Amino acid sequence: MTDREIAILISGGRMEEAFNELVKSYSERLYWHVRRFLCSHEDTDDLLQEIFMKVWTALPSFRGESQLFTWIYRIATNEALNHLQKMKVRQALRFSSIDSMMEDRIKDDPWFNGDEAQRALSKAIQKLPARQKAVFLMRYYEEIPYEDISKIMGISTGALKASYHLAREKVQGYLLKEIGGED
Amino acid sequence: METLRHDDRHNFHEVPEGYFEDLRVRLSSIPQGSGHAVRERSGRLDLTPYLALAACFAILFVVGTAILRSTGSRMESAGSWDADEEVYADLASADQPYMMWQEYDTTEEDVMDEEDIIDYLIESGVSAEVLEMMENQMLK
Repeated sequence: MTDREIAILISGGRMEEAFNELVKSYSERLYWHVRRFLCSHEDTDDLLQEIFMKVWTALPSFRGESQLFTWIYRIATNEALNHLQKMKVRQALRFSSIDSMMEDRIKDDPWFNGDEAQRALSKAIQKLPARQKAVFLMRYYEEIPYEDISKIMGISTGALKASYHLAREKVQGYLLKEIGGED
Repeated sequence: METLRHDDRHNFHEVPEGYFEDLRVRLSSIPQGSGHAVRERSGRLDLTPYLALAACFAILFVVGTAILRSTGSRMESAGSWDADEEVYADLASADQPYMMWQEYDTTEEDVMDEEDIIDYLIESGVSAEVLEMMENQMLK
C-alpha cells in the first residue's frame, strides 16, 4: 500500500488498519535507520517498539499536511537522537564516554558481517556530533533527498548541505588516519 | 583520495533469522494494548546512574558542609578579634583610654604556694588521709 493510500485510511478514521499498513511498510526500513544510530540490535528492537507506540498515539493527529514518510522518519530520528542523548548522560554519570561505549558495541557486535573498512566507517560515524550524524546517515546510506531530510529534521537545506559536507570531511579524515584511503 | 567506498553503503549488519516477521507481529499488536507489556520492558529504569547521581549529590553536600563549617569557624575566630576590640573599647576608661593598651609584664609567673594547694584540696573536699599525706610530703 502506498503512503497516499495509508493517509486516506488515516483521514477516514481507520486507524488500526492504517497502523498495520505502516508497520508493513516501515518496520524494516526504520529498523535499519535506527540501527545505524544505536549500533545495537537489542537497543534498536526496544526503541523501535517505542517509536511505533508513539506513531500509534500520534496517528490521529496526522493531518496529511506533511508526507507520511517524513512524518514517521521525524518521529524515529528524534527518538534515536533522544536515546543517544540519554545514553550520553548515563555514560557521563558512570564517568565514561559514549564514544568508548559505541566503539565497544561496534567491535563486539555479533551481527556485524562487514570488513575492517566498514567497521572503521561505523566508528567514524559514531564520533560525529548528533546532527551531522543524522544527516550523514540519511544522506549517505539511505540517499534521502536534502528536501526530505530538511522536513524530517526541521532545518534548512543549506544548513543540511553544510552539515553533510562537514560530516563527510570528518569521516574521511578519520578513515585516512585509521586505515589509509583508497583511490 | 577517496576513503568512502560505494560498497560501504551496503548493509553490513545482520539480524536473527525470522526477526522482521516477528517484529511485524509484535508491532501490529500495539493497537490491541499488548504494547503495554512492551512499554514496561522498554521503559525499565536502570537505576544505577540515578543512584550514582544521588551519591554525587550526597558527597557534594557532605564536602560542601565541611568546607562551609571550616570557613565559618575561621571567620568566627577572625570575627572574635573585632568583638574583643569592641569589648576592650567598652572597658576602656573614659579618663585614661590609653590604659587599655598598657602592656603587662608577663615574664613574672604566677606562683602557687603550698598553702594555696592545701586550701584548694580542703575546699574540694578531699579525704583527711590525703591531706595528711600532702602535709607529710610538705614537711619533708
